[in-house]
Amino acid sequence: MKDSLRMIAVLTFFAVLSGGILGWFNTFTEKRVKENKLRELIASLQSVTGMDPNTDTYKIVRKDKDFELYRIISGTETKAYAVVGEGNGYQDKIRLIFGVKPDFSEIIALKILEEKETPGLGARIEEEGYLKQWKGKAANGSLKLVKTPTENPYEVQAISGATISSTAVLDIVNKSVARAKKLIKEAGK
Amino acid sequence: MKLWKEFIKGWWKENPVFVMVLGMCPTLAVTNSVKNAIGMIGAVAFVLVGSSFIVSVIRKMVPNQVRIATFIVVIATFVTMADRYLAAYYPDLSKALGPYVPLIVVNCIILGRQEAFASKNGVVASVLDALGMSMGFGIALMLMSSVREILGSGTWLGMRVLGSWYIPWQVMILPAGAFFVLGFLIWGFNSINKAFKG
Amino acid sequence: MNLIVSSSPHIHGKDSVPKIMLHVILALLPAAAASIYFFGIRALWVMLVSIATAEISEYLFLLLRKKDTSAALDGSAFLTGLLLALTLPPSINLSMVAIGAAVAIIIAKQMFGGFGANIFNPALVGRAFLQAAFPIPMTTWVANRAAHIDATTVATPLGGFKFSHILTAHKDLLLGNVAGSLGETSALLLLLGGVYLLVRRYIDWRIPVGVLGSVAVFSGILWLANSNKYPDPVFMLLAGGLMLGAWFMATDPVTSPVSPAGIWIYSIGIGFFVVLIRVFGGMPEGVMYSILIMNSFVPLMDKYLRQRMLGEKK
Repeated sequence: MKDSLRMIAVLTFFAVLSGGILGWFNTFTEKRVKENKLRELIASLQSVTGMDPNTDTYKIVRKDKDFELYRIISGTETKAYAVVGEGNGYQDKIRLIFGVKPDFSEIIALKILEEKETPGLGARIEEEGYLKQWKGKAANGSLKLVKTPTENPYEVQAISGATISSTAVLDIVNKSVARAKKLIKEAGK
Repeated sequence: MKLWKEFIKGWWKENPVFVMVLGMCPTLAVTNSVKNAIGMIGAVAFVLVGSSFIVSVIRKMVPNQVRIATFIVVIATFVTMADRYLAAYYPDLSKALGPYVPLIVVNCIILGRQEAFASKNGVVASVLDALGMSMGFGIALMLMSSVREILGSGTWLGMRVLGSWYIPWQVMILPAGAFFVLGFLIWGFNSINKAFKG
Repeated sequence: MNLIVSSSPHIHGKDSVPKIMLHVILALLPAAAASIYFFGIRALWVMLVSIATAEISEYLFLLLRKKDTSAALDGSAFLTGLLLALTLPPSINLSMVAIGAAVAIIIAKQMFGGFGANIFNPALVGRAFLQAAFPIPMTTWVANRAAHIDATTVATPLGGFKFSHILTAHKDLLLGNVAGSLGETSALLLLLGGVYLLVRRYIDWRIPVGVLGSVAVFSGILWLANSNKYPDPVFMLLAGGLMLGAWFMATDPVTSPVSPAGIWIYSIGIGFFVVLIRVFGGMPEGVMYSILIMNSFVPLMDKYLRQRMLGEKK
């Protein structure tokens, strides 16, 4: 009886001590972690929509696990929308962000946030050469994948040897565009 | 003299990775670049030295039956601190290491040293043992990650070391490459040991 | 007449390994010659580099392991080198060929204990390593000479089907008038070599029958279910590396099971994975991985499915 009481006492003591230390430690790391996240978000918004963090503001329209929608506001006008989408790639989830013009006429830019695709093949979706072609593509939710270089705003060129990753990015964009359009339409009513 | 021995044994003779084959999870998973390996070495060394110190201090108060549970609480505390610190101050590294920092809790090198050494020895010896083991772990991870990054990307710590003629062997930064490199390093390690004994 | 029959194990003559190897190499020669015809002198270089590296690695490792170095001349390393070359794209960099051949011999064969002790087909391990190490050169295919004069990159028949839904004509597949690795062009010549080995009884008939039969059955079922979506079984049989794999790689006596029951499971398993990977997987071709996957089950099958002696208890 005495033994088990001592066991409980010692273990409780260390658990409480540990909790206390971690709680205290968390008070000054949490702030930094939050700041990091915010800085990252603003940097992403800036690079895909051309938002000027000094004069423009952003508003969260929707924030789900696999979908986020931001409205970039310049003064009183909607300057652009930024959409975060997620979907299955070749190996793991691909998470990306892209900016679209407020009337959804075209995509401003696209950036990959997270991917674990095969280095040298699928991971090339992070390369500038692939990403820059997204500028000016139609944000209509029905973009098509092609094998050859294309200027057509309704087509996107796949990375050779990485058709699955290219298809995954395309599907995420198409799906997210449709979802964002629907949300904005509903909000406008 | 004895303390010096406790310090250096982990470097080679009782190397945690090559001889005891412990800590395989980080050894295989985060050695695809030298930068990740350095982050992991730092985190493991912090947790190992910290928990060895605490465990050797409290070793006489802890009842035998709950010693493992107590050690885990101590280790988990240090691991959580390391994880939060990396997330706050090195967000890129924290992202690259992903779940492998929290997984240090179950790294056998750490619990193994508490159980085999720190819970039976004095504070100075325990800290030296932990430092030595951290160095042994560091030597192993640096070797692994150097070979993998040089062959797999042609770079070392992000600096180009092999010329543009070199076509990187992408398999080396994939999980399969980790197993190849580990096998070859253990082979080399054992061959050197054999040569010195014979 | 007084006949004395001994019980197994029977001892074979020592010359049997080089002799079998020689015949397998002979059976591969038509396909090898065809690859030179289709892809030019470059194909010959790929084969020479692969064979030379395999032989040198074999010799050096036998030396290092303090074994009889004359075993390097038993033809098995030569065959591994040739088989590896036949699985490679003709445009591949020759230094990569050498790396693949060295990995095949050193990692897949000598490190497991040399001839007879390896679990996985060495040539396929070499290829798998190259596929993981150099994914882009390993999936870049040049048009073959008979089809196009200019050396543009094109899709293989399986790649064409998977990503663009284009079926290649059966006749082109049969004669080798397609893009692909050195040895996966002409199904007819590989078939010829395979039948030669079958007639001379150097390979077990159950393996090619099991592999090709199960591919035909599984893909036939899919084709009957939806012939618009899935390719016909003849295309599946003739395209890609299936002929090479079924006749020359799955039949490797070292890495295939001993008992008939084991052989059936092994060969049908290969066919099943080939169809699974080709039709539902991320890659257009899956013969290499299918054989490697089933190779890994061989020790288990040899342990549990061997024929028991009369009266032997489990």
